[in-house]
Amino acid sequence: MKKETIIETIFLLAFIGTMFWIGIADSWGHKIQHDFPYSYLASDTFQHQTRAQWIKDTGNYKYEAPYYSAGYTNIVGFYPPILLHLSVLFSHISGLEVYDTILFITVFFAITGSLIFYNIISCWNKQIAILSMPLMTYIFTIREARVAFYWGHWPALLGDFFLVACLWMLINLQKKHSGIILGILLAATTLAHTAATIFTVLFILIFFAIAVLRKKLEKKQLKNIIIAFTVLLILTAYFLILFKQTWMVVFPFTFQIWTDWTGGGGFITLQSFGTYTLLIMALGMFFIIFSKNQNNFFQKLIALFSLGAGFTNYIGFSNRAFNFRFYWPILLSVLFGTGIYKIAKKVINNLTTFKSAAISLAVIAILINYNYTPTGKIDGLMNQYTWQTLNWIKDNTENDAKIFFFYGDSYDQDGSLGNTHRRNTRVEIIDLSQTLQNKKIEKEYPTKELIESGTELPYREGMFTYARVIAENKNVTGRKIRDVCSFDYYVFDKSGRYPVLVQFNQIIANTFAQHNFTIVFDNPLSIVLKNQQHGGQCFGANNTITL
Amino acid sequence: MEQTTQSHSNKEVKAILASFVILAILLKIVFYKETTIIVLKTVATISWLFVLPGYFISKIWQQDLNFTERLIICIPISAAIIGISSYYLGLLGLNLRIQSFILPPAIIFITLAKTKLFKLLK
Repeated sequence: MKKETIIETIFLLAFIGTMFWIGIADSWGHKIQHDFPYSYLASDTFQHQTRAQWIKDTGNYKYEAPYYSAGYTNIVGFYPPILLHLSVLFSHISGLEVYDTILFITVFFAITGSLIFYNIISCWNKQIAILSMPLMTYIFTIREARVAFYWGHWPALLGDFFLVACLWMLINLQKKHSGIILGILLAATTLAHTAATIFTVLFILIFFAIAVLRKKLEKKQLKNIIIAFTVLLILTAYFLILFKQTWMVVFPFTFQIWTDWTGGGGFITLQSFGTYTLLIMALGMFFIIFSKNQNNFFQKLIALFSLGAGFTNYIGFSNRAFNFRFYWPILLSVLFGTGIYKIAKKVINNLTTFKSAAISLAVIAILINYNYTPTGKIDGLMNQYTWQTLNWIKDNTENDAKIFFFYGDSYDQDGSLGNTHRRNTRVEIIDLSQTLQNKKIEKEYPTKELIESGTELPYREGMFTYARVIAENKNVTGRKIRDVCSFDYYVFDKSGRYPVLVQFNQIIANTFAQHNFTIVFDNPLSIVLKNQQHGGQCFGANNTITL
Repeated sequence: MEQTTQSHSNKEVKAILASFVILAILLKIVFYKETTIIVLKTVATISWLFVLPGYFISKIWQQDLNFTERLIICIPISAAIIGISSYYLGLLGLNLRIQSFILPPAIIFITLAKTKLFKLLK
């Protein structure tokens, strides 16, 4: 093995190890296997996890689980499936739980994405590729990028990963069978996060338009791209028909300018990189744009395209532009690498692979020291007692049992409740605060059932036609006033961030206990009561509990 | 000629095994509180699902790409093919539990069979 190759391999291993460390190992307490979902910080994470678990339990993704589909058993599996399937397959082989594998592979693919991009830059200049790596660490250090991993923007991250793979394939389009492989990778973007396909196709169109203008389009490349689009259409036809009749109907394209994304946890801006890093990137941009070198056409195009695509939130691409920005630390890294390279060349005459690797590792160390605060173990929204309660419900209640959750710290992010594998409804905390002022709670109360109603619960009407439950029956909705006494089991937490609300829980639980309710489960955090008189007067004769 | 191919294949097998061991050591360092068996299972799963199928497919480019490049690009290729096939096979009724064991070898087998068939036709 050549000395250069050995140095490069050691450098890449150090990079991979660092990325795993800051990406997930630190927050996972340096363990891969956990007793419950770890570092899950938002409802969306649980939404993906429970859906993947459902696929694991049923063995396929023909239908959605009835327990998050308002009890309907014929709701067709409508979500982009590839991440869910990969995490289930990984779980089957490794023996790890789906809640561990789904986050692990998302991080693993992000690290692989950076290595693929390293390859793309290497095709032009190995030294610049090595010096680009420090910027890639930002994918785990910029707060808004970290949010993508811990708040569950996993499908978007996977879509971006396949987008990078498509870029690699484009640069290698003269290779044997590259059209077929590009088509498969494009199909993967569609089945991971459909918005990523739009950006990839846009890039391909621009790439070819410029190639035509420069009179550099080869016949073989054109042939391969036609093959790629044919393969894409064949592999995604089934899903795209479903997509067109569900997602595109409920969320039609509207020209919306987005400048904020609080719901998504914020978004990466150029300022997120910090002033000094930005200056180096600007320097790199200057050299890349004004370089007469023809070998870096592709890398130059990617950098400019990525920058532009990230700002499409101003031309109607809404939060999809922010999804694309998750991968900015990787896609813009060539700018940083070029900047550092130009500075290093001024100081060091003979910039070898060894010297570049040493500089790169030093910069990585500085950036991580500056940008990354060791998190230590992040349990997230789940804890062992809540997990125990949810699993007890799953294992011990009737399949059609309806569960009601009173106040608990994590129940507001209700995606986690899907782990009961039962239909779940929770009290609306905002209204509970109102109750605090009125000092009484009524039997008919504002509640929210966990329903994955994003595409209005589509079901198959014909061979290739779908109808939507919610479009036909507006009464099927998560949020509404329900009879609190009409549930089978009730979960009360005994401690929480808001002691007053915990006190409410105690008063209500005591009232229930006087009306034929029995305690069926108890642990240090929660109790579960069983309603023996379904739909009865659980609140007493006045249907009101005075607090 | 055949001997050269044989020796090349042996080298590749050794290189893949070496990368398996190196990744296992790396993950054991990073996840140092994890048991060795879990780390090994994780690395074996990565290899089974995300490395081997794509690596065999990328054999068509073995003249153009070095080992590291193939090792990296085989991951998205494997993930894409396994993920897409798994979705459709699931819809056709093949349980994911069975898929997890038969999909990777099936992809490798089809790739090898196709390559051999091409050679025969030539």
